[in-house]
Amino acid sequence: MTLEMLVYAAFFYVFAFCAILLAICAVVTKRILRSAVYLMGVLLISAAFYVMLNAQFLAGVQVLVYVGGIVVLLVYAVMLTQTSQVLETLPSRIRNTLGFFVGVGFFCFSLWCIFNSDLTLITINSKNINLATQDIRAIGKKLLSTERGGYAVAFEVLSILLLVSVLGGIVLARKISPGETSPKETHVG
Amino acid sequence: MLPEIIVLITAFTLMFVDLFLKRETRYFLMGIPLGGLALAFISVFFLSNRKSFGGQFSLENIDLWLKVFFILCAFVIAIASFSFILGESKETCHKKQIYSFEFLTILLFNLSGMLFLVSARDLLTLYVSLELSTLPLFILTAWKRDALSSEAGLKYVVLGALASALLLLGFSIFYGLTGTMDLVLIGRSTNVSPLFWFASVLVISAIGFKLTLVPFHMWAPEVYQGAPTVVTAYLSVASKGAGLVLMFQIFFRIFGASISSFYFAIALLSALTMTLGNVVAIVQENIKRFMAFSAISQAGYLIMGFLGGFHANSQAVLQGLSRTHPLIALSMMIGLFGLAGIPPLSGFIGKFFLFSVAASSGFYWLVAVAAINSVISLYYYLRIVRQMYIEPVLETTVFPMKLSMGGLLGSLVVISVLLGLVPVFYETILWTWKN
Amino acid sequence: MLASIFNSPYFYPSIYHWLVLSSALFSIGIYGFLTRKNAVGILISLELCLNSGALNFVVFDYFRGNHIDGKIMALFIIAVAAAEVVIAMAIFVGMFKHKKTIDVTEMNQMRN
Repeated sequence: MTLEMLVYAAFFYVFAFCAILLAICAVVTKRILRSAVYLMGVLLISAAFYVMLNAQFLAGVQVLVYVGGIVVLLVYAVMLTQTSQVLETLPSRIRNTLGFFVGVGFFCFSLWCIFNSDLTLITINSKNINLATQDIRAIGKKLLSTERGGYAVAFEVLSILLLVSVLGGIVLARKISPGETSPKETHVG
Repeated sequence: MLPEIIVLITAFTLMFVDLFLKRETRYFLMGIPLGGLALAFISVFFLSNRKSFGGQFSLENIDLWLKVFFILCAFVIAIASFSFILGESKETCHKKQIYSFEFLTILLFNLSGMLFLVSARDLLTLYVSLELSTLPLFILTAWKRDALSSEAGLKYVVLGALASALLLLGFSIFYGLTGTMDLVLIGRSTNVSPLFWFASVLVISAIGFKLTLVPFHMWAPEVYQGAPTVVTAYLSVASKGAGLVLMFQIFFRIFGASISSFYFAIALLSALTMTLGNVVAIVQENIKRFMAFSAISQAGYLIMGFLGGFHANSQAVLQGLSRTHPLIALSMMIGLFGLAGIPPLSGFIGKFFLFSVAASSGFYWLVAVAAINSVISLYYYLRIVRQMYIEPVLETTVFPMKLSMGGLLGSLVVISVLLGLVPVFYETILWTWKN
Repeated sequence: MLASIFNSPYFYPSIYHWLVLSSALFSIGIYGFLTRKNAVGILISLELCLNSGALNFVVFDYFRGNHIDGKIMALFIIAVAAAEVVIAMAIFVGMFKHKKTIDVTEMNQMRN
């Protein structure tokens, strides 16, 4: 066990513990704004995980888009939809216990499935994985490749999806000025 | 790729032309989506089986018919939505919603997503096309921006995002167990393990959400009730169709050889869905909620078609889809008008084929359940017909009938009766598919 | 004694550790989805779920010999999550304008 591996393992455990703690805080806290900030913490630690898993570009994108875009958007939404009471009331006990049992049940079931499956095709011990760094060039080539195993079609579909979401966001949220009337004053009713 | 390109070009043209025209000249904008969809419809018949982009996008015979189905759906809904967009129906409430042709733009993009879904052959394209088939519907559901519509949109978004997350976890396990993204390769190289079943359960939950199968149907009544009527019609036809395509892709490519182990689960879900949908529909007061439960039970009939083998399934699903659903959509669009009685007539052939598929696999109990449910649905359809013809007419229920709506309804009635009487249509589909 | 912990085969993060982590995050997200009343809170829990799905893809990618498909899928997941959040926010803001609340337990206008 070299020092490098020791440090890697230490980082993993510390980050994992922090991520789970922050996630629990995010779903339990009564203030929504703090929940968004805890989510941001989880996503940043997730970016650290991506670095540990040899996906450095993805870590950068995660911080830029997920943290820098989505969490900011969530904070906007929290601000725009704030009621006079800032603290969310606790859920009813029934709902709380039900949610808890479903969550714990799901977790236990997934654990059972994970440990009873034959994962030996996957190198369990990652000591001898070929860690050649795949730079942005490789990802870019695959994204725009029209050969077998490329993802050009998915890329185009995704760009249309983003366009639609922008269009929808604008249409659904635009202000209706009070003085605007249509040429048809009376419509058939 | 041709129909997708045509649909996309139409959508972009509509979007840009809409920007630069003044309000008064917007009537002729109606022609753009209709012309584009007609062109796309024609272009499907010029396609041949091929794989393009190295297998990312491929077409087989069944895919062509599915694309035809989706384009037809969008065409019908586009015509029906003109009165909604132009402010002539009762439903538009905000003045700025009048003349907002973004409705059609978003609808066309949604259609393109469904067309891509039909041709997707790897996990990534499948997921992104599925999202493009779902997300615009969130927007369309909340289009009216009043309290009811927004509430429906909110419920749809929240539950739809959950389904998306479950699907993703399932896909990640499929990818992890086999190391490939290609759907057919996953089907060939899975060795079944508890983790595989776990992922299957997750994926089936997501499919159940999209198809409104019974433990996952919660969103359907509320969303169908709160959305604009045109959107409800589109949801009940095209969204179910997209769910069926998704189920088709997953069950016949990913699950491949091990599909027979899912037969019992499919049968159980089908029985639950049919029964609950029909039983709850009887007590509904609101017509849209009623149609929602009716549509839920229809989904139960449709997935019965998956109990057969590959060949029988495609035929049965396609027929069931094209028969029962356009009529439900029609019924929803016209409210209390009297065509709800038609589903037993020409939907009968579709159901006949679905029942025969299930019976040929030995699921006789399911066919019995389905038969009982058909009788129940006949009962409440007839109740609606009685309501319209026998009860005295109140003044407030007279609808002004616009020319486009009238023409549309008339042609759909004629087509549905014809297709119900002439099963040769299905024979040609089956024949072209087998060759 | 410390050396015996460090040298045991269960110490160094293997795929089992990573999978337990991602399923824990997903379960916490599910708990949040079921428990939260505020609609934005529900969306935050769903973002946790989506993030753990993306993490799962990258984990399998790493342990399968450093492929690249999983990373691209995670990229697309991030983009799709962004699109969903945009639409959800537009709808929530619209809802708030009408009812002055986005508490999901108070949304029962359609119960008949």
